[in-house]
Amino acid sequence: MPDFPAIQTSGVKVHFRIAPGRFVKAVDGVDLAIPAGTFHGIVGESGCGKTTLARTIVGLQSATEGEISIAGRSLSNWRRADRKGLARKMQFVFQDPLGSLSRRQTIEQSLEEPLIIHGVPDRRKRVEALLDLVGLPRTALGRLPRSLSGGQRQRVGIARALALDPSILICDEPLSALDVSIRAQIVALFADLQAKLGLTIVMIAHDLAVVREICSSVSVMYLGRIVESGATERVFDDAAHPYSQALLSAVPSPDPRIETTRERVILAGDPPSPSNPPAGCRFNTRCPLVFERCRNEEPVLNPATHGGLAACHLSQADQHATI
Amino acid sequence: MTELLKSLRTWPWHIVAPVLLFVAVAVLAPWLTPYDPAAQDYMSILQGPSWAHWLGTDYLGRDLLSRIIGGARVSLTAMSIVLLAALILGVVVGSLAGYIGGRFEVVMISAIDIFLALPSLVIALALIGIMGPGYWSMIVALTLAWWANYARMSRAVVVAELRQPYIEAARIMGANHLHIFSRHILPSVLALVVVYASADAGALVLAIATLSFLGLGVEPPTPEWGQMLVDGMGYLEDNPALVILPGLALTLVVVSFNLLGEAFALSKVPRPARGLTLSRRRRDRAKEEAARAQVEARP
Repeated sequence: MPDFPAIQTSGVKVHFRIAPGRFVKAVDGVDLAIPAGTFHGIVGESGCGKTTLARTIVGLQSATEGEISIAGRSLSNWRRADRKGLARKMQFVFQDPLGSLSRRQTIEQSLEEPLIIHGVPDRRKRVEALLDLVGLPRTALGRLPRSLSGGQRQRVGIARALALDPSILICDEPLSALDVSIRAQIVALFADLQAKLGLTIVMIAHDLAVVREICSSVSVMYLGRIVESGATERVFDDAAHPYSQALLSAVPSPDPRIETTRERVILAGDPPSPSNPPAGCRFNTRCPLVFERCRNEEPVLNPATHGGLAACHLSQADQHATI
Repeated sequence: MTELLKSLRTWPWHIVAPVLLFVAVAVLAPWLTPYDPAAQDYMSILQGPSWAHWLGTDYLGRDLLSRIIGGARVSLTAMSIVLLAALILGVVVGSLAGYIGGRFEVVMISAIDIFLALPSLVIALALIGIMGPGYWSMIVALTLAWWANYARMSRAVVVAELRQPYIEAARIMGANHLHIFSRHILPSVLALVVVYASADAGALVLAIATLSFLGLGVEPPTPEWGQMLVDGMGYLEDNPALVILPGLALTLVVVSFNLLGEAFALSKVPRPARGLTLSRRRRDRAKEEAARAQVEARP
């Protein structure tokens, strides 16, 4: 297998112009390398740019700056030279399963569509195989999306994404539109598919408990940047960045003894506006550990003392910061 | 196909039937008319109803029944041509404007707005003034007076549909513009525009009659209802049927097309849930629930 990462982004920025000279910097310099075969979670609070990042990776949103490469080839090159090849390599699962299916098409027609576009023969057989893969009965074929439940619709969305047998799946909050009771089933489905098909999955989520359960690695985003990346266990148990600590301390524990004594970091205030991020470290306005250097110098994503990568002056492995 | 047959039973037949009757009469006109609608017979002028002429004759001895039936055919033909041409023009221009966007859209919208700002009959009259009266200039004038409505609607549907995530899904699947347009956009556009056009058909029949009444549309030997009204007016005292019957035919056709359009619109637009509607909704919801449960019960 190739040794380049499945997805690599370097310095990706996505800025939206809201008024002359004023930009919302939804994604503002993201470096990410996701090795093939991993289940990577991206977490962060609302408005931090996770969804924009996901849409940029699949090309629904063009990057203002920076480079994205998929399987070692740049996204712009893919899109220029081999759009269909890219579609067979990487697919997307939407947040809203109802909106992502045409309300006029039956489930069979929706599942057939990618096969028609790519001229795949023996469509009926493939569609049935897809139904089995995501655990839907044959009776679903003739139905319209609105006569299925939310969980079933999302299964259809996943089946359609898998129709072309891609190796990379980008999922934009695939669980947030679902009932809690259904979520567990879809989580299990993702874990199952990843193991069975050896997929590289990038999942945007704000349900931290879910990320902890199925992702092997995780990145934490804050205000358009990645502040910490690393193996899930390590990030959840021993976060290097103060923002990750605060975010992850919000996850409740199922053990009541731990839950009652659990230390919670409550952040004051709202995140600053992404159109005008603070100078220095972006987190300095809310960080409990802020010191002088944070206000002047922006930390870069470097190997942290805890392992993994973190963008914090306090945790850089190469230079033990002194306060 | 079976779906279609099933839905056929739930159609409002009392509303569809008059329109179908009009279409059937128009299509079968050559076999239904007892006389040639243009044939003059000076031996029987301005006669009342008789066995030979069921509805009587006009001032040239032409059979009134034949002329009304023939008029239906002329109205239907002219109306269909105008409607089809206006639909094609409107859908193409509107959809392209919505799909391409940018400066092209701005220009197209402005053009559409200019046409919409003026009453369609005024536009038609102006165009006939330029082209001179006649059957084909009436068709062209009415088409140009009518297309803007459909263009505006098509554009609105396209813009709304393009924002739907399922279009983005198709893009990610590698679909090209033609695929997205023909498979996703066009069906949504037609679903709305065709319904609207069915309500417009009545207004068009009336417009054709109006222009012919003014002597700007269908030319004399051809039977046409609007024209028959003018012809009959001079003989109102001798044979009022010459005015009443074409007028009645015109009214019935316009009303039945309007009812059809309304029925279409009502089945599309959600109504406030009250009384009977509420109980029907409850029934529908129960049916949907049952369908869902059936899918959920895995084999």
